[in-house]
Amino acid sequence: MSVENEVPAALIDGLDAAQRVAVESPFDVALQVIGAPGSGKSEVLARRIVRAVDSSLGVLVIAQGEGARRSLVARLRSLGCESVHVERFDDLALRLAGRSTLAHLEAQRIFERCIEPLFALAWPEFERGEIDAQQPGLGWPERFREDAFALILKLHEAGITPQAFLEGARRGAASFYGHVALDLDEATLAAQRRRELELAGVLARLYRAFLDAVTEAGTQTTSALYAALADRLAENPSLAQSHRRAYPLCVVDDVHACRVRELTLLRLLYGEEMRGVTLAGVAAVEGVAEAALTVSLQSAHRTPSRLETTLYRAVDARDEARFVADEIARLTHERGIPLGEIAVAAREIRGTAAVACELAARDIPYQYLGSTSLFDDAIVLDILSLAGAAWNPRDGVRMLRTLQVPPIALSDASLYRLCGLPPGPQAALFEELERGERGARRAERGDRLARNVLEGLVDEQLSEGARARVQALRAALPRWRAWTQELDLEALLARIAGESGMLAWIDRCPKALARHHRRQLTRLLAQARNFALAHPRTGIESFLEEANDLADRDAALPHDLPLEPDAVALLAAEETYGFEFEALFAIGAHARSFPRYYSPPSFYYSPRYGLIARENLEDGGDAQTAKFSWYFAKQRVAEKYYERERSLFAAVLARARSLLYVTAYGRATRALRNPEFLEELRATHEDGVRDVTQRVRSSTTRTLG
Amino acid sequence: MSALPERPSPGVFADLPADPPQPFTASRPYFSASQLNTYAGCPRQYFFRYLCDAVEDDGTYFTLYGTLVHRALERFHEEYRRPHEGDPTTMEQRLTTLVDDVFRAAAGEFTWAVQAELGRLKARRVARRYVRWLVERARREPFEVMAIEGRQVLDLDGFTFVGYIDRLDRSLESGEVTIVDYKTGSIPESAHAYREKINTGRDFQLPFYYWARRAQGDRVASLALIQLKDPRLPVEPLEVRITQLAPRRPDFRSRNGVVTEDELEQSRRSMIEICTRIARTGIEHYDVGDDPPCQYCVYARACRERPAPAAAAFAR
Repeated sequence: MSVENEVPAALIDGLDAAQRVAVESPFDVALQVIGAPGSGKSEVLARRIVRAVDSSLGVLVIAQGEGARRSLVARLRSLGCESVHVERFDDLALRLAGRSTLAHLEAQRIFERCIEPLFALAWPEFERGEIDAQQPGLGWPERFREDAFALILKLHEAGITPQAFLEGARRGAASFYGHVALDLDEATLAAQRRRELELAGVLARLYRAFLDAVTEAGTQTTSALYAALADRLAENPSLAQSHRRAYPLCVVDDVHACRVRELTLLRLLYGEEMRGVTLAGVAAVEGVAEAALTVSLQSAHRTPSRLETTLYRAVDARDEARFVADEIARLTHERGIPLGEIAVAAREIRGTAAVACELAARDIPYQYLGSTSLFDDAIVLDILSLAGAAWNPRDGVRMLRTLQVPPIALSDASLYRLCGLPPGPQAALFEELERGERGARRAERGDRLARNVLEGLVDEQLSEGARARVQALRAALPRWRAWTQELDLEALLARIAGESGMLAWIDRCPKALARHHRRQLTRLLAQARNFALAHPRTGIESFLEEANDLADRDAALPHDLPLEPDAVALLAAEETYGFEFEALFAIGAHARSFPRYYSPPSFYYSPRYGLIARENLEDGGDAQTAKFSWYFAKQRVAEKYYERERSLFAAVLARARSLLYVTAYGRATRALRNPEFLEELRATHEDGVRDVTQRVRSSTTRTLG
Repeated sequence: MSALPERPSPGVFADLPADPPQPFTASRPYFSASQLNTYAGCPRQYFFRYLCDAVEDDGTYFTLYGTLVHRALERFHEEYRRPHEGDPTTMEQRLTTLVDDVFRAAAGEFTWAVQAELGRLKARRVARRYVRWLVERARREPFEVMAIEGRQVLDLDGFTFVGYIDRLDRSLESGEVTIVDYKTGSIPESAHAYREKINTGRDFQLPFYYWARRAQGDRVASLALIQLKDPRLPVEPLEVRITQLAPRRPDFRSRNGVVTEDELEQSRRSMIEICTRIARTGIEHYDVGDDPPCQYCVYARACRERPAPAAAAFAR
C-alpha cells in the first residue's frame, strides 16, 4: 500500500482546493469526504479510484442503490476507467459468502409458518394457562406478525440472540419500572410490566423457532447473511487479511445511507480504524470520525449558482399530475431538454401513478426506475387471467377479467348475462364439488360463469359480437390449457399474450403506453422464467399462486431492464441516489405523502429499556402503555423520523442540475405534528424560487371558463 | 432475451364484431340499503357483487366479529325487553355468557384461533360497557324493545326493499319509536356528518328504516347508532332525531343532531331513482366510484377499471 504515484495533473484538473486535497490524500488512512448533495463527492471518489487503479492497487467500490452504482460507473468510464467493478453492499456480502441469492421472501414465509402455532393458540402453554392469549398487539395478527418479523430481523442483525433479547427485556424492565416516575397507579403499572415480560417471552420463542427453521431450510435472510459473515470474519482474521490483499482500498459512496450491518462488515474487513477506506457522505460516520482524515467540501458543483426552483400547490392529485406533465412537455419542446434528463420523484413509486397517466395521455414516454410491484399491473393481470382461465375456468375472478381484456372487451350487459343462471335444469359440470355449504356456494358461482362460457348455455342471450367472442374464447381455452402442459412458463405466457391479441392491442396503444406495457410484460416473462428455474417441477398453477401472494404482500420487484435515454424517469425518493437530472419534479411534498405519517410499530426494543410494548390491555391508563408513551416522547421517535424524511427530501432535491419543481396538492395542514415540505420552501423566499400556484390556478380557471 | 415477438399476430378475436355497450336492465328480486350504499361507493363494485355475483365473499375478521356481537345482543334482548326492570349485575353476566357462547360456537369461522379468542375477550369488555350504558339510559327514560332483528319489507314505487333493523325501542313515556343500529366498525364523527352522508346520497340505511317503519304506522322519532368497537371507551350513541325543520345553526361536532323529513323524502326519491336506472331504464356501463373501496373488494383483481393502488399514507 505504500506504492503511491504522483497524482497526474489531469486527475485534479477542474477541482476546487478541497476536492484536490481529497483526491491527493494518502491511501493508507481512513478518509471521510463530507459534503452536501451536489458538492462533488462522487467526482472526488471517481478520481481517487482512477488514481488507485493507475497505482495498480485493487480497489473495492461500493455504491448505494442501483442508480448510484450506474452513475459511478458512468463517471469512471468518462475518466477512461473501465476495469473497476462497482457493486452494492448486498452484492459484496453475497460474493464474500459465496452465495448467489438472498431469500428474504422465503424467510418471511418461513416466519409465517413459525408464527402459525401462536395464532392457532397451539402452544402447550396456552392449554396449561401459562400464557395469556391477550398479548399487546396480537389483536391484529397480520400486523403483529409483520412487526415481530421486523424486530427479529433487527435483533439478528445486531447480533442479539433470543436469550440475550430475553435477558435484555428483563433488565430493561427492572431499570424502568420503579425508576421512572409515571402518573399511573401501581397495579396498572405492575400489570403492564407483567404483560411486557410475557410478550418478550413470546417473541423470544418465535425468534428461536425462526432461527431453527431458517437453518433447517438452508436459507438466509439479508441480516442473517451479514451476521454469518461477521461470525466468520471474527473467527478467522485471515479471511479479512486475504480480502485486504486483493482490495487494499475501499471506496464507499453515500455512506450516510449505510445500515449498521454494512458498516460492521467494513470494520471487520478493514479494521476498526478503517485504513484504506474512503467514505463519502453528507455527514461524518459515527466512530470513524476520530481516526479518519476528514475533508469537507463546501462548494456546490452539481447545481449551478442559480437553480431555478418552481413551487406549485395543486388543487388535487390530478391537477398536480397535469401540471407536471404539461411542464415536461413544455421543457422538451421549448427548452429542448431530452426526456431522459427529466425525472419525477415521489416518496414512493406509487405516488407517481397519476403523473404516469398524464404522461401517457400526452404520449410522452416514461419508465420506472428502481423497484415496483408487478402483479397489480393491469396488463400483467390480464395475461395472468387469460392463463388462469385456461387452467381453471371455474376461477370466477380470472374468468371475469378475461372477458374484459381489451381484445375481448365484453360489455357489462354481456358480462351480466354470462354470470346469470343458465336456462333449464343444471347438471354438474365438475364431478368433485367442494364440500360444505360455503364451498358448494363458491363452486356454484364459479361453475355458473364457467358453464355459460364453456358450454354456450346463454349464447342466445348475447349480442352477435359477444357471442362470436365467447365462441372464440371457448375454442381457445382448451388449446391454451394444452399449452400449459407442453410449454415452459415463459413461452406459455408469451404465446397466450400473442394469440389472445393482447400483444397486438398493446402495439396499437399510443407509443408511450405501448412501450410501458411491453416493459411490464418483459418483466413478467422474466419473473416466470426465474420462477420456473427455482421451481422446476411446478407449472402455471403454482405461478398464479405466487403472483397472488406477491400481490397480496405488495412485494416490490426490481426493474432489471436497461435504462431508456428517451423516457422520463419515475422513481421513489430512496431510488434517487446517484442519479442527476437536468430537470427534476419532486411531487407530493405534503403531509401524508412526503413525508408519510409516522405509524409506530407494535413494539420497540431498546438495549437500555428492554421491550417497549405499545398496546395497553389493562382497563386503566391510555390506549398505549405508560412505558411506550414515555419512550416515544423521550426518544423523540416521531421527530427523528420526520428529520430523516426531511434529509431524504433534501437529497432528492439535490438531484436536479438546473430546474427543480416541487409540487404538492390539497390544503396544507398547520404542520403541528407533520411537516409540510412545500410550505417550508414557500416560506424561505430565496432567490430563484418562484411560486406559480396563483398564476397556474387562475389561468386554469380562465381556460375552464 | 424477451420471448415477445416484435410483430405479433392480430389474435383470435381480431376480426370478430365488437360487443358495444348497451343499456341493460337487471332483474332484481329485491333491493337493500346496503346494496344502494355499495352502489353509492362504487357502481362497479355493485355490478360485480350483486349483478355478476361470480365469487363467494368470505368477509373479513371485522364482519365476522360484527355478526357475532349482533347475534349475542339479539339473544340478550330477547330476554331483556324492558332493560330498566333488569338487575344490572345479572344482565352483565348474561350478556358476557352469550358473547362467550356465540364466539365459541363460531370459532372455526375465524382464520386463526387467536382472533376468535381475542374477539371474544374484546366483545366481553364491550358488553360490560354496553350494559352499563343501557341500564343508565333505560332508567333515565324507560323503554320497551319492540322488535329485534326485525325483517323489514318496503315497497318503493314497485321496488321491493328488504332489510333488518337491529332493534326497535318504544319509549314507555312518549310512545316514540327509536331505531337502534349496532355498529362494530367506524361511524361518522358527528350527527351532522351522518346527516351529510344521507343528504349526499352515500347512506340509505336510515331512510330505508324510517320509511319501512312509517309504512307500518310507527311514529319514528330517532335513530341511534350504537358504536361497539372500542372496549376502552364508554358507549355513546350517535343519535339523530327526525324533525320538520333543520336547525339554523347545526352543531358540527355533537353526537346528537337531526335529519329532516324533507331530507328523508329526498333520499327516498334517490333510492327510487337508482333502482329505476338499474332495473327499468337500464345502465350501459357501471363506472368505478370516485374513491372506490378496492382494498376489501373481492373483485378488485377482476376489475379492469380499478385505479392504481394509492401510495401509503403511513410509514412504519
